Amino acid sequence: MIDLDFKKLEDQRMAFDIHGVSPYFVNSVRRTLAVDVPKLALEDIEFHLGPVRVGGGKEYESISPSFDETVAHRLGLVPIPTDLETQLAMAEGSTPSLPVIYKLSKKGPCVVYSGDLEPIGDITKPIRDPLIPLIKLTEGQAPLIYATAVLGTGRQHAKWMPCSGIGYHYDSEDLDERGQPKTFTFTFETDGSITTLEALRFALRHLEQTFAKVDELVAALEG
Amino acid sequence: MIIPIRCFTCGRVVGSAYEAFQTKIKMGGSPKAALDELGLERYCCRRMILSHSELIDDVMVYD
Repeated sequence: MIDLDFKKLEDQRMAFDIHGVSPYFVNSVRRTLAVDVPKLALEDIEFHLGPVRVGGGKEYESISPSFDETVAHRLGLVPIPTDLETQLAMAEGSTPSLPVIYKLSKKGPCVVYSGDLEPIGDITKPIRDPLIPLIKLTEGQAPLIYATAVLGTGRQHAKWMPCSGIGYHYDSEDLDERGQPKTFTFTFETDGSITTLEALRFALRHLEQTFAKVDELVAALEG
Repeated sequence: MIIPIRCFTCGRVVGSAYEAFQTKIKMGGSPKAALDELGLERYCCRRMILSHSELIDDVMVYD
């Protein structure tokens, strides 16, 4: 009988004790959380080229001191609020697919923050952490950027990893008759794109499906 | 150059902590207390903030 004992249950931080499982099982939960839980991240970044005219007649150029690829990389790392159920349904094709797009348009000199990303579309939510510095602009610079978020997992790129600081520890004195730890203390955090509970629920469901496939393979071998 | 958005090692978002850290230090706080208040527990995230050198301000003048 597996027993979960929550010690901390916050949106972005979780700690729990898990009893009656093997070290291999706890490690598979850790690896699944790291690499199989999906989230949205900005992937298709469109840079407007050329002059930008703003009311008042002043002309700006749509550039920034950083290279476009640097800007695109930094945008990708910003946590995008993800409605996992809706996104997974759209990925499966059971509901019509709606884009998650952000617009970035700011006039220099200034610092551009993640909070300056304007949500566009019906399902796009504002960025939760508005104070991440993205680019610094000088006089006459006003980049115009459209960024589309795409669902992915940590297997593809670190920007699609919703969980960080995933780990567990155990008391090496407190062992069962087989010499394995009785209790593991498991902790992890999320970047705010999904909650810890959503991440854990998805990871455990994913493991269940993976193990079901193993069962089928075993049945095929024996049959 | 400019503060990285995430910790290189664990992937926690650290970019938003940098300006808050600078303000706390300028007001005379100790770096240890400031990092603790910002919730940066692991030493991988703490070094991201502590060892950062904001060179972008010097470089962008020549853009």
